[in-house]
Amino acid sequence: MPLDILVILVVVGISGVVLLTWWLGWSKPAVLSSTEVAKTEFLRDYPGLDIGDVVLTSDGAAALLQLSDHATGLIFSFGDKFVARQLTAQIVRAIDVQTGPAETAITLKLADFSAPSVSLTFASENFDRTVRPLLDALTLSSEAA
Amino acid sequence: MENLPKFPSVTQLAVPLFIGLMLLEVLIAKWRGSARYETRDTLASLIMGAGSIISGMLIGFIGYNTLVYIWQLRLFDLSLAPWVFVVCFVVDDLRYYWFHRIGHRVRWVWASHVNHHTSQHYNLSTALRQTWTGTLTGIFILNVPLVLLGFHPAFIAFVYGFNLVYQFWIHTETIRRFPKFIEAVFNTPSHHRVHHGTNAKYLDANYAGVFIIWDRMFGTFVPEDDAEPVKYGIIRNLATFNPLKIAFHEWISMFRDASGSGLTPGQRLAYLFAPPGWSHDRSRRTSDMIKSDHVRRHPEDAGLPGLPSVGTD
Repeated sequence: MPLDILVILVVVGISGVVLLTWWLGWSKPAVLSSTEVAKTEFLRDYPGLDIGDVVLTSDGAAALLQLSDHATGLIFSFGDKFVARQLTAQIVRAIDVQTGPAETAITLKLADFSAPSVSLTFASENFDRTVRPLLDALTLSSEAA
Repeated sequence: MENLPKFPSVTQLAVPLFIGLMLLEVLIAKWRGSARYETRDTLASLIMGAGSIISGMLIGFIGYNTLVYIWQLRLFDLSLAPWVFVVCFVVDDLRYYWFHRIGHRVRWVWASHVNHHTSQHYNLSTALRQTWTGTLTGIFILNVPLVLLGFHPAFIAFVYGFNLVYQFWIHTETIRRFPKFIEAVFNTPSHHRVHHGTNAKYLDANYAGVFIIWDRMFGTFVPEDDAEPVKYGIIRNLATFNPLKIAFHEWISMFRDASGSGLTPGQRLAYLFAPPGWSHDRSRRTSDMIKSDHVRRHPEDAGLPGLPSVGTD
């Protein structure tokens, strides 16, 4: 096949299929509708782990999960699916917390090639009671190591 | 075969077919109300597909020229008769089975092949999520026996094109199952869904290209279990649609692991050539360990297809 025809076919084909999926509305991000869903989705990637408290982000795009052994679970939407990670002090390089009156934004810097930075936003109300312990667990783990 | 005709690129000729079938699958998914495509995932897969064509044009000559050199040592002179095509197709499919099995069990080759498994979706666009680095693994050496038998590398490439086109259409959830006699002999959407699964029982199964008989012969066949829906992707799914990261992420991880501090030479080699998931401190899980873990948690599943009879530490 002549190269110019091949290039046209590939470009038009990719554009056509991708635009069609976008037009059909298949680019909406997945949302965690409840803590139970977050737990179920996390366990699909990490079966057998014991999960304690689960805290959803304000927009339901992600959740932090309490695990044993100074680890914290993270699940976040990726396209219309989810990606899960078991966070430990070895994986978390930095945690940036920006506290606002209504919402608190966290940026996790991870030693993860495909997800070097993950941003999460939680309601500021009860943040210290619900989210802070999950972040502190990572710090404790670092000290233990 | 000294005056070899110029063979067309079967996969390039099939591009309109690929596009047409994808559009059809999208419409069927819409009609059934089961969206199985995601825009950015699809774009990433298709760019990977286009990139693999470009990669073939840029570095494919390395494998081809090596094999042409070896062809001078061939044992037989074969014609281009139809039976030669058929024999080459079957033998090459057996070669594909072993390439694919090695691709899942040796991290050096997995670093290239993993690209194809990085989508959490399973549709016709996933079929085109192809590697850019296959030539660099050197796995083309598996073609040497065919070349020594007398099949010219260009002829093998031509025949393999049909194999690849066959494998395109089985990447779909639109088709459930075929009649038993077809499922017994051929690789089908059902068999290949299993291959793309990360469920413990589905890992490292159904490596076939066209004929599923190879998996049945070599003990790697696992049937699709309707009670256990396939979870697609890889054990630790990527959180990126960036084609460059998809193409090179495992290479980077692998060399980073192998160059870590305090490792013995054997451990460095194991990071390159042991099964994916191997780690010197057992902090990660290989597929064998994942299967064993599953059986420990679910003893009732012991001995089922794809699972060991005992869960061990």
